Amino acid sequence: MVMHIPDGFLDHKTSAGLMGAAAAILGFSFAKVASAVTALVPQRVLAAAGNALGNVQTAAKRVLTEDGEKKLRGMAVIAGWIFAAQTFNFPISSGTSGHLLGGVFAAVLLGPFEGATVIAAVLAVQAVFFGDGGKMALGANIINMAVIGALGGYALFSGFNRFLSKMNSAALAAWASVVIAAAACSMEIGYSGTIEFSKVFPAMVKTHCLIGIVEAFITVAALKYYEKRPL
Amino acid sequence: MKKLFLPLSIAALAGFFASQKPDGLDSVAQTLGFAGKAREGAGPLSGYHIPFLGESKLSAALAGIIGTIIAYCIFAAIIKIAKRHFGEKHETLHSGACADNN
Repeated sequence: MVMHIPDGFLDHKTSAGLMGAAAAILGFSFAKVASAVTALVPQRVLAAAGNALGNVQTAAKRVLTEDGEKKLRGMAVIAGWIFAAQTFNFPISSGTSGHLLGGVFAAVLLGPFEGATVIAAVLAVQAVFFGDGGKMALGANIINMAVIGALGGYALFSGFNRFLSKMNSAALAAWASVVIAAAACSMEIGYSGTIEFSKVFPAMVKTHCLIGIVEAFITVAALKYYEKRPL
Repeated sequence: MKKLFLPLSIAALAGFFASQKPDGLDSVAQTLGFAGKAREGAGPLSGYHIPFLGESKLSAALAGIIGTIIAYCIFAAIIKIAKRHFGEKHETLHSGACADNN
């Protein structure tokens, strides 16, 4: 719930627009993941393997590769991880708590498009089964946490990684992605006229500067955990 | 499923030990006085509780475990669908390989 927008905070125009944007970017991410887990095989190879003997004429066919299946299994495990981690709220100051978003963790571990897909799936589960984050606001939440959190977070990570170590870059990107996502969230709420932008923006950014510090620590710990073991 | 042991434990522990304080946006909304505009989300496990178990810690732990399994199963289902859609995999090929030379 850290920044899961419930229904009622956004006007229809904002939620519909963000839903469209989220659908377009997610569609692109799905296509990227699909081409990463499959390979184009000429039919002759398949024929030799005893498959599709009938259509040797067709040029090529897409198949799920062994590495691709492994990658999807890894995405399944990380989706479970992120859902679980997001149920664990930690106190950050008197009267306020926070939890992991996991965008940078998923994107650095699995790849940016895989990471965004995993976060979007977790957000959908939370909205549909748990009433956490509105169903109308799902587009906004996907933009904030999957697109900004995972895709944007990965862009920051690769930028930092040119000068800094992997773990330092991941920590910085994790912190920044949470703060930027919170800023985007307050823009959407302010634009919808729920509350003045000048009030919600500083409050959201201030709170998430603190939540981001915990995000950075958990991201590094989780990446270190997976450095030594296969997914 | 063995690889889900740790996440499942975290979800279970969260039911008992996670902070109950309002988080991030929720806390900001309460401080600034627009929390009332939120419409309570509906869902079979809304509020991270199993309906017939009430709002106990055990109920929260079980809801977290179920959610973790659902999140995992989405991608397990995608693998099933991908296998059917793309056909059988080929032992000698790896991701990105494009042997388009016939």
